[in-house]
Amino acid sequence: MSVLRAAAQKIPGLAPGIFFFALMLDAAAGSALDLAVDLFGEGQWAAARTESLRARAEASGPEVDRARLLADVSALRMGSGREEAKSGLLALWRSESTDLEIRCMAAYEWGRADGADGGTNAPSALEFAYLQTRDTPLFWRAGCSLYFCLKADRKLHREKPVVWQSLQSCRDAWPPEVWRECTPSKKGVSMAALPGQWVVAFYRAQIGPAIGSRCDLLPSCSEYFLQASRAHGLLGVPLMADRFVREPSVVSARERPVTMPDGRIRYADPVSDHDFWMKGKGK
Amino acid sequence: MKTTILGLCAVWTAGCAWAADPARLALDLDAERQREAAAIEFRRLALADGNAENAARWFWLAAYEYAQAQQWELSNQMLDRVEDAAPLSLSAPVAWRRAENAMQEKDWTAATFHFDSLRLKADADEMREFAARGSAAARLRGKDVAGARQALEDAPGDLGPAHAAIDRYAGRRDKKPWVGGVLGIVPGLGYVYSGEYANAARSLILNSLFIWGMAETAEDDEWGVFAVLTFAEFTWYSGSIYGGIDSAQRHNQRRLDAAAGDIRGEKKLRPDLAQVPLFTLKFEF
Repeated sequence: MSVLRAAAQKIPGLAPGIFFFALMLDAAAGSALDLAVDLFGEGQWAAARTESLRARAEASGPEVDRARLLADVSALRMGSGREEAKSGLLALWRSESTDLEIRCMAAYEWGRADGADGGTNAPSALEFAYLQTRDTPLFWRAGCSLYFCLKADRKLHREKPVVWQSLQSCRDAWPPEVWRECTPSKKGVSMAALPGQWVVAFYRAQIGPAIGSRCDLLPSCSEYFLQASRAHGLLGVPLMADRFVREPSVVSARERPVTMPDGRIRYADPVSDHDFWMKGKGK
Repeated sequence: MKTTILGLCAVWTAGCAWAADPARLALDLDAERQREAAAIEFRRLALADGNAENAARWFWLAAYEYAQAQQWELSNQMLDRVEDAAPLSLSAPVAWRRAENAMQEKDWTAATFHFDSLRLKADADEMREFAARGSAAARLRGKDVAGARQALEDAPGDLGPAHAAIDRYAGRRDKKPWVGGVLGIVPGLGYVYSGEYANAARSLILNSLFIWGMAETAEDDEWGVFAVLTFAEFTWYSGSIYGGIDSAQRHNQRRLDAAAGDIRGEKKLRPDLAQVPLFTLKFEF
């Protein structure tokens, strides 16, 4: 299981919209899905999902399946309704009456999601997409994803010698951008940002609940420190000290008030106002 | 029966009103300040409109709404679609929106270019004056004082206050952040350099308290407390140095903001949405 999980972590991310543009290009001009596709391409997941659902209600024929696919993938990207979206994609993948390219796309997206959740069926979904699709970008990405999956799992690798051999011979054809997308990313919190995170986690768990919300600035001081340490590592410490010193002046100046949902007024003081001059921040 | 007929009439009337004003939802969302939702509705109208010029207008309105929602990149994408749908049909409004978006994105070169372009495309003196002021403000923000003066030359309107703002800005010097940082070695002095006296007093008091605490605990051999206080003092002390640098930067930024604001003046441009998709740009004070 742990091997599978490790393999799953290596399943690549997908640049938004890349496939869908290709997939939707053959949709009739003036399709009800045009707007949803545009929104998806722009990374506006929630709006794309709403538009897809609207288009699904109005569409007929194969357009319904496209709308379902887009709605489910948007939901996956949003991170909400994940299980529902996954079961929708699984149903699309398994439905033999659905257009094959849509099934391949659904299999690919389901495989990624299942792999990320530590499921065991990601390789079979990716293999389906890899072997069945006629869409070149999907072929590359499904192949590359499957390659990393099999590479991380020796048992699976031995069970599928033909596929492995095929991937080995195809890999030279994958363009650099596919490799870039598919190479396991090592995004994480930098070591320098870790102490800041610990301090904020301790404050939020042990001190914050006892003293309540006392900060009059937006973002709150703990959030400011978190953002500053993420952006600048240990330099977050003097940024935070400077903010503590400035806080009364910012509040008394009453510039840029923001009304919070609970009606309380806070004053905007984002990190970007205090690091705009650092290298690479300002223009 | 009578009730049913009346009900049907009401539904029919509502349907007719909707058909006559397809932008109602978008305009309502705009009035409720739900800018992104309004932009999506305008985009829907653009995609559904077979007339290229009208589609371009809907896209422009979507760009405007995205800009109101501070989504500059999406706003620029919509402006690209305006130009794709009907090149040259909305050149002045597109130039204006691109210029404002570039200002928000702090791309002073692009902002200058688009304001200059707006000045060439404008057909009224008021708009030419507005564009000249925008171009001067963008150049000043790009630290091009001579260029800012040049942008106002030959422009129509009363530009005396704008010239005066440039003179005021050029007549004083920026604070040097490195000087603020060096002065910050003495707690609070960096803030004093930039005129933030209250912050300076707080920084001085905090640093003094913690240094005093460190001295007392060291004298009493309470090394555990000493370590905690030293860590805290390190925070305040580094904050004083950083604050010296940042306060100088803030001071310079405020000075620049004030000068650019004076150059641009009180006039604001807004589209009149009374007859969408047709719209006109109007000045507000």
